[in-house]
Amino acid sequence: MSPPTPELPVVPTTAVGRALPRRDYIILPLISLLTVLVLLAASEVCARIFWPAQPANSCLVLDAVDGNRYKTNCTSRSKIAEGPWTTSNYNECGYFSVTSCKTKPANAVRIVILGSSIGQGIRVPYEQTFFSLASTGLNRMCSRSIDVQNLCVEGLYPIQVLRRLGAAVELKPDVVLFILCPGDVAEAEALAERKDVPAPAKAAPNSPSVLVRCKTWLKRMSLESRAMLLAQHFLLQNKDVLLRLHLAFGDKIEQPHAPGWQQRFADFDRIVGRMAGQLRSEGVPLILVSVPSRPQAAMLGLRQLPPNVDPFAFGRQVDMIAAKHGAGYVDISEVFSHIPDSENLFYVVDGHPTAEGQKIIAQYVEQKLLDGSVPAFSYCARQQSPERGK
Amino acid sequence: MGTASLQFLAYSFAVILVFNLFRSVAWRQFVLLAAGVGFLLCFSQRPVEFLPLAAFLASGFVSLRVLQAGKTGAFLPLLIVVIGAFMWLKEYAFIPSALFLQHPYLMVGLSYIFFRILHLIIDARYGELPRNISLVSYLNYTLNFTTLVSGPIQRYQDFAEMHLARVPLPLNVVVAGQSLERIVLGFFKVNVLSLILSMIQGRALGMIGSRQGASEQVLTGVLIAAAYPLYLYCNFSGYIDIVIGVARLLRFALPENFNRPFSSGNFIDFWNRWHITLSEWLKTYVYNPLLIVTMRRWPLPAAEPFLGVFAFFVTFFLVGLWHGQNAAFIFFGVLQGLGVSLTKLYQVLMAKWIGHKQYRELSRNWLYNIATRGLTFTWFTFTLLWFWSNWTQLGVLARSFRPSEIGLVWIAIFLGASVILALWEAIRGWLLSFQIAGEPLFMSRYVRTSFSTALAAIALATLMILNAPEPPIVYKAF
Repeated sequence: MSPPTPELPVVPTTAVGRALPRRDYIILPLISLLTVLVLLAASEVCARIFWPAQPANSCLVLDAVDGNRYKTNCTSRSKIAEGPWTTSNYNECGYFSVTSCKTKPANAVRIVILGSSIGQGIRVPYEQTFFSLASTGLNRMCSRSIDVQNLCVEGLYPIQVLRRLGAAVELKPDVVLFILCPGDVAEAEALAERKDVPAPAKAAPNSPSVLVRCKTWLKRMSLESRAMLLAQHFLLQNKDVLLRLHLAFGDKIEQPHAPGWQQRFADFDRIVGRMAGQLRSEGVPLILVSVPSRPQAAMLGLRQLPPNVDPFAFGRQVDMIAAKHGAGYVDISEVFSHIPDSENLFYVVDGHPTAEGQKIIAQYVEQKLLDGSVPAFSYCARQQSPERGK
Repeated sequence: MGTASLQFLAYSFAVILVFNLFRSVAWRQFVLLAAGVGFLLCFSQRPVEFLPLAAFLASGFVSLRVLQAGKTGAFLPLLIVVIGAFMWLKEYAFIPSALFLQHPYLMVGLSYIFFRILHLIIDARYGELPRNISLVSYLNYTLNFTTLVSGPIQRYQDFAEMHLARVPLPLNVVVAGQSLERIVLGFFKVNVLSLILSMIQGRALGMIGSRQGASEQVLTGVLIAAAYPLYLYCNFSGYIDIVIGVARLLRFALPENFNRPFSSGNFIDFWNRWHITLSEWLKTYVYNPLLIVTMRRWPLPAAEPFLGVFAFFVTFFLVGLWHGQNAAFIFFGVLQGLGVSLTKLYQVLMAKWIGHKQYRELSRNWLYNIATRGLTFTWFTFTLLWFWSNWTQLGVLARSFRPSEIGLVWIAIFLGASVILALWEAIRGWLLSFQIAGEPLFMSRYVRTSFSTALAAIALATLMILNAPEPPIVYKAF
């Protein structure tokens, strides 16, 4: 056996006694810094190559006052880094629908869907959205054509949804579904009536300091960075991390409700009351569907939770509001609580349900529409119930 | 606290800071002992769990003192007691389980403590140790927190020379930088490379039983078998890099344990480069004495090479046996012994048949080298099947592949290893050929600083993103 030789010439022993030249005290830290910068740039380039994204919807018209809307007869193609490419077609009314909004097809059951991005089934191809799957299923089971007019728009607040109710009624729907998630009622301005539009803030007399500008730039960079998004994607796949971050920084719903949430639920209650009242006068049933957020879904199956944290609280509160105003209700939280690791039914960073999640939502929406509470489906419901009882 | 964790590094740096506050021998001894005890306390806080380890250490110290007092007649009984106690505590399968302790107890580093104690007893018997080793020095040697978990196995003489020196090894910015480099490299190997390789093997194992085409099935087999030696290398040598770096900041140099093992041209050479301190230990305390005894028993010059073959087999059979307590590890030992002894036999016979000169020339042939490197890797990969799995798991694996697929898997591993290792050697040689001021460009401190920064950044990002506990050090189990 020969005597062992050191594995790595990386650490030459001859250098031990040598002093480090003075210039190296500056050069070596600079090399380290440069290396980190190069690594960041390289990871950003790689992330953009291997995880392409085009999240902006070219058909979306931003409107902070009346709410966002889609351009009429428009098609957009978008993709988030975590999901597939999706093509969205908007009809002559700017609704996310494959059929015309003008005339209701004869003998068809028309479903109108209201809400924000969650109701739009955003981030999955149209044929994989919950309403497309549900309409296909209903069509198959009831032998009637189903016409879906989806009025949901990304970033639309419930108060703005209320303002679109007139447009929804004009479509002569047989049923209106209002899809919501906790994020939709998480901001006070999403619910409160605003009579006056505040004037745009005047520019500050002094330009911000270099530090503030750097901070803003860094914040923007981190938000726009694809590498950062990927890091979040992998980090938030870990349930423990997701929950730790959510419980530390997220807008969690506690029992009893914090004053902010009490106010928001009260505002939401008024909105639902007005919607239900108007639809009742038109003879159109209203069904509320609440979809949990990803952190909420992660908590649903847990046996041990921090005190006062209740992932079912949002669903229960919406249930009470729906019951109070005579609206139907589907609690997807309840459904997801029976599915292990239901947080995997959502895109990790984006937070919208994946195609798998859409499939499950579709099943329960379909089931609700067939439970006899919607007259347009009552014939079909009678047909289905003996089969379901088997 | 895992040895490749950020917690271990934080603990080590705290110890380094306190250790270097004063230079007196007493201070250094006190800090190292406290660090060792503190490290052990990370594994358990129940005193009863420490008792067997404490008793084992005590038996070692008593044996040492008895032999240093000149009572050499007690050598053999003491040796048997220590070996027996070790096998009993490690619960070797041939000992009736009713004799084992029924409560849980601390076994961390026991195998490595055993090697140190045996070395002390044998060297004390032959008067090769300094006189009157103090209890503190003994405990610092056996419980040194940098080597406790998985070595490397250092001779007491080398340890004491540095640790008890009035003027300790120098620690300047260059040494600190080099030590940090070593720590970063080890941290990267364990937390990134070994993690990735273990995931690759895990996924491949997950594919077992799924319907696959023949080529996918062969690929799965290749990944299952060939990912493990690479994983084990990154895991173990990464740990060694970390502790060598930490120890150097504590002003003592630990022996190297790896020397590019996959560049070995034969299996004897492989064991000169893999777990070097273990094979050196066995060479000193098993191979040499055994060879001397057998040569005295059969003093024929013609038999000498074959006695070497036999001594090799016994030595490396023990290497395998040391790794575990059951039949799979006995077979692992047999395969190690066969690998080394057949290599030796081949060398002896080839030198006889074609002559020493021709054999030397053949050994220098580049194509021959590529093939022997690939063969060495393939044999080691094959032997490791009994290292990471047991007979039942091997049965499942064997039933999952057709005989022809198994054959193709090993052919693919041999060819792939030959080509990849040859490419690796060529690229390494090419990169090192760029020289500046007599030093390879890629070994300049500027390039190394950049390289280490990149490794540190990638390792930290991986840890943060995965947020999983660091992979366990495989050899911690031994």
